Amino acid sequence: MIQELNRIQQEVLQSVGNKFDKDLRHDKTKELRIKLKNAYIIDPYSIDEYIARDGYKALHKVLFSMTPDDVIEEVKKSGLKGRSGGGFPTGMKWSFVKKSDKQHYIIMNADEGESAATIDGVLMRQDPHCAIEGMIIAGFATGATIGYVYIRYEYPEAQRAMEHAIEQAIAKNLLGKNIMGSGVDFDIIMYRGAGAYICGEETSIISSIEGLRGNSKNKPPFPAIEGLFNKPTIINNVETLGIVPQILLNGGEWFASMGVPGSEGTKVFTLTGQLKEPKTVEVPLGTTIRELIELGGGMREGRQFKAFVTGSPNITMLGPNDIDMPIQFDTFKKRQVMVGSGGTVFLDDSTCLMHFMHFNVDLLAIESCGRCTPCRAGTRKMTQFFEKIIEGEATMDDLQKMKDLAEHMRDASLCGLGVAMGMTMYSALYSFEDEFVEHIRDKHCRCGKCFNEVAA
Amino acid sequence: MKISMTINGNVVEAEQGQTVLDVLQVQQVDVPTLCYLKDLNDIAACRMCVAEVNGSRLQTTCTLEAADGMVVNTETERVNNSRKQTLELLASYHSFDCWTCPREKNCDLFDQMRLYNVDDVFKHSFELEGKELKLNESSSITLDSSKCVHCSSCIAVCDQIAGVGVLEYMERGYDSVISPVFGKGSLDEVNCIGCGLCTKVCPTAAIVERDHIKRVEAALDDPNTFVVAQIDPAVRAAIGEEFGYDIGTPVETYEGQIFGALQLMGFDDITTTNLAQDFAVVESAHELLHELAQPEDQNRFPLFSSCSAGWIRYAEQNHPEMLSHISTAKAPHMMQGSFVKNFIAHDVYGVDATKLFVVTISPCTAHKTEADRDDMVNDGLKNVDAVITTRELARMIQYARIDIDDVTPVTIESPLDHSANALAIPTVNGGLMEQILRTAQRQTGETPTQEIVYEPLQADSILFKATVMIQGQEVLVASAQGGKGMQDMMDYLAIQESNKAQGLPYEQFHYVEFMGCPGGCINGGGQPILREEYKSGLDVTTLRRRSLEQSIHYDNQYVPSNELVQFYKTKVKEVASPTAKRYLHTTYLDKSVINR
Ligand SMILES: Cc1cc2nc3c(=O)[nH]c(=O)nc-3n(C[C@H](O)[C@H](O)[C@H](O)COP(=O)(O)O)c2cc1C
Ligand code: SF4
Ligand code: SF4
Ligand code: FES
Repeated sequence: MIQELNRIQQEVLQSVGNKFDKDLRHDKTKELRIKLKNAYIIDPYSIDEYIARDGYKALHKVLFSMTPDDVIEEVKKSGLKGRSGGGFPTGMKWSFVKKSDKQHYIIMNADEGESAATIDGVLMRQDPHCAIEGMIIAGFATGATIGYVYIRYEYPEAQRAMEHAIEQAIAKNLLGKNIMGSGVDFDIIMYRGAGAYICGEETSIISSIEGLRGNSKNKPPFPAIEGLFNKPTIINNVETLGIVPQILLNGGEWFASMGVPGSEGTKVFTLTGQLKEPKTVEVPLGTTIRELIELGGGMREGRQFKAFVTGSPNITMLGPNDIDMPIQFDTFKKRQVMVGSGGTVFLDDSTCLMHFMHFNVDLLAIESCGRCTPCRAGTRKMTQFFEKIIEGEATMDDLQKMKDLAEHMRDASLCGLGVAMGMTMYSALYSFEDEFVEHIRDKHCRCGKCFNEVAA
Repeated sequence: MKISMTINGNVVEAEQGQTVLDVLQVQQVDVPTLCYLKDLNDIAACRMCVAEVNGSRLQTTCTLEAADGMVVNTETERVNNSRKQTLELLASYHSFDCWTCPREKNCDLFDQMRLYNVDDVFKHSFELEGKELKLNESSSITLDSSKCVHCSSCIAVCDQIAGVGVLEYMERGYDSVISPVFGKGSLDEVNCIGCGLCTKVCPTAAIVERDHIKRVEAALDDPNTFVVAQIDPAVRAAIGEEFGYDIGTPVETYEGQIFGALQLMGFDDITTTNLAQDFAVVESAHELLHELAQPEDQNRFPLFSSCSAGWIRYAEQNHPEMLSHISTAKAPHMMQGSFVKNFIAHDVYGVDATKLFVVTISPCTAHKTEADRDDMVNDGLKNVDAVITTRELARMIQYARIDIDDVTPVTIESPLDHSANALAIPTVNGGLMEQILRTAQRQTGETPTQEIVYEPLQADSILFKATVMIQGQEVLVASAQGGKGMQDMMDYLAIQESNKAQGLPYEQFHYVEFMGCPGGCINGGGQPILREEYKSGLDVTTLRRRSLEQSIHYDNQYVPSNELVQFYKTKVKEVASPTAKRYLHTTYLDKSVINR
């Protein structure tokens, strides 16, 4: 089989000319394209071109020369942490699955609900095979023989690319029964969501695939123990799974050599907001916010950087004083900020933070599944508090209640959505408490956006 | 396996596999819960049961499995603040009209708000928002989502015990509402069987029985209306609980006062449904004997009972193909209503039947739907005009400002209640089936079987079967309780039917009794609410039985009363006569369209 892969590789390499030599990096010094190495270079509808770029070699190596534990060990060595935002070590997550004769599942989280993120979308549209290969490897490592791709409703193009890629992989016996003659089986089922943000949360995905309303479930039990159809289930993000083949092909140490200790490897970011050139880039972790701004062409003309926001609507933020902070799991965690899924929003000084917060908090209220009390009612109350601030009716008492409520939501909500609201408030108050107070106590909006009379 | 954990500073032993909440309950540490129902609902939605565990984010004890060395704190400031804030949030959209609320005295939200001294900060911060009152009335059940705390308990019992799953969340987030499935406007448009289980698990008054009190009050207020109350024995077994008597207190302790209160409220006659049961038993026994006499290929076996209104709804909605198997005898209280109005209004009450208003006081919420059926009308007169539950009766007594302790006890002296069979056994044992079997035996000159021995249909089954000899024939009977049980029974019967068709071994049942409520009428959907039953598994049925046990004289001979004989002679002529068929029997309708 490896001869077959090599033959295809040779054939393609001889016929594509210099197509693969393109360098798409935005800035040759800072960008580092690992996950995006194929994006916009190969034809996503050609499995041969993927193979020509060393595709499915990692799978071959894994199936014929490694045990599941070897795979997990290698992923642990790489330091890979989940790219969906939480930063949970992937190798460790895989090792939680207790091998048993029960059916195990892998779910690829392709719901990418964050409004500022188009990372998984780009990967699936431009390089669908990398995630498929990663998923099969993850299945081998955790004993799963069925994988679900939970893809968001709004991604029909990515879905087409994925479905086509799955068909091609099956036709080449890289997927399906007895893969490459190794005796290992793995099947992939595409499952399209219905467009709810909460259905990116892992337990909601499980409910959704089970045919139930997309509601979050309490953890523990964690999906690795009791997940889809009550069977052990591993849920990983597209970007996380997409890098797995290269880690196994080049070794964990290769991956760990990029980035910084504790935050190994690269991360794809979608830079959006008030930048000159919003775009999707891949940089090693440890890159600073200032460097990202530069990659985005700088802030708009005549405007000052105000805030770096990760995620949307599930946001946390850093302020002007943090502009040289490196993007790392540990430094961010210390400030209770999430690295996030890679969707980022840069705000300049023309944006009123109260309006921005109101927008996001309201989105969270709309997208809350409504199961647990703190989030169902808390998101709504928080929206109303921001309405009051914007209308100039809030009191300092209200600010205290907002703080208490945020704390409560973080402490007692059932899932990450409610918890995130607590973190959102914490990070906003950390950098911008003065702007809150200006609005509430002095009825002053430095951007001239609040209190109807000013706007009128 | 034993494990050891620290709870509020005390080292305690626990069992592996218990939840932390289980352990707390064993240790008698009070923890508030709203959404948790044992083995039914562990969705950890309300977040009231939280505790600090090993210094992490707060954990819900109802879902957290106890582990060796765990350190749990349930009474810290952080925990209490969190609970208080949760309650504040719930209060921020609750419509507080407690003084008119059916759950005024039995509301978990209210009790917990008082316990945690909630001062409702959010309503102080905003104009009172109160969720839009979304009343959703159906013939048995009323939903008021402005009182819902989103615990999902009703969804859980409807799905897992009633087995029909007709309640669901609609909308998302703050706008979530409990609603009939498919967003239908009323539970009557979906597969609801009216069993009322949902009303018994709701921590607030968001889901309650359909109100009939107003109907009854209007009748009582009208001087030209003669109002008759017919009380089901199961009501007598439980009404004391509404007035502070312990569950299981002998009925004699308070029953006289209840009758007295009914008199004070202006009921013109107070009677039981014993006569009704006599009628039902006699008519049904005749039906059974009639079928037993048919040649094998022409009988209707298995015959199905007809006394449970929840079962009739279930059958009409789900098994239209089986309707011909259901006994045509009306439910007892309906028979009695029909008989009283159409035959003896003049003789016994001296009033015109059109002036007669019959109220069934019932443990059952499905009876409400039954009373309003178009086919429960004879000669233009509704058989029963209103059905109030045990809970509604208690409320009416309160509304009338009657202090039950001050009421002089009275005994019923209804011209209708001279039945020698004032046994009340049927509602205690479950259904009327045993009486029907014994009566059939007696009618054929046999000695009624004293003790009917049941065995589970299959291992671990909630269904039971027994064999009784009638005229030398082995009569195989079975009994199913609760919506889920009814479903399982129908599935089981379908398997027998298909085995029979394929020539495989099968069981031929002759009579199957279906009861809409698990535990039978004594644990009906209109009985006093004791959420402990579902929170910790309290055996309400057995406890309630105790209240009747001392006062009921079991007579398994089941000899018909002189009254009954007399009534047949003078009014109905004969069992199963055309007159009986017209007034005491009914027909069933295919309502399965609701399912499609
Ligand atoms: C409200 C909410 C929304 C989420 N949405 C997404 C999403 O759209 N895509 C995603 O990959 N993970 C999302 N997550 C994270 C997942 O729950 C899960 O942690 C992740 O898929 C794990 O993948 P990883 O270990 O590869 O990071 C969301 C989490 C929460 C709480
Ligand atoms: S935190 Fe929000 S989204 Fe998560 S379970 Fe609670 S209500 Fe649902
Ligand atoms: S109606 Fe009652 S039982 Fe149902 S979810 Fe609401 S509060 Fe809970
Ligand atoms: S969350 Fe435990 S009782 Fe509701």
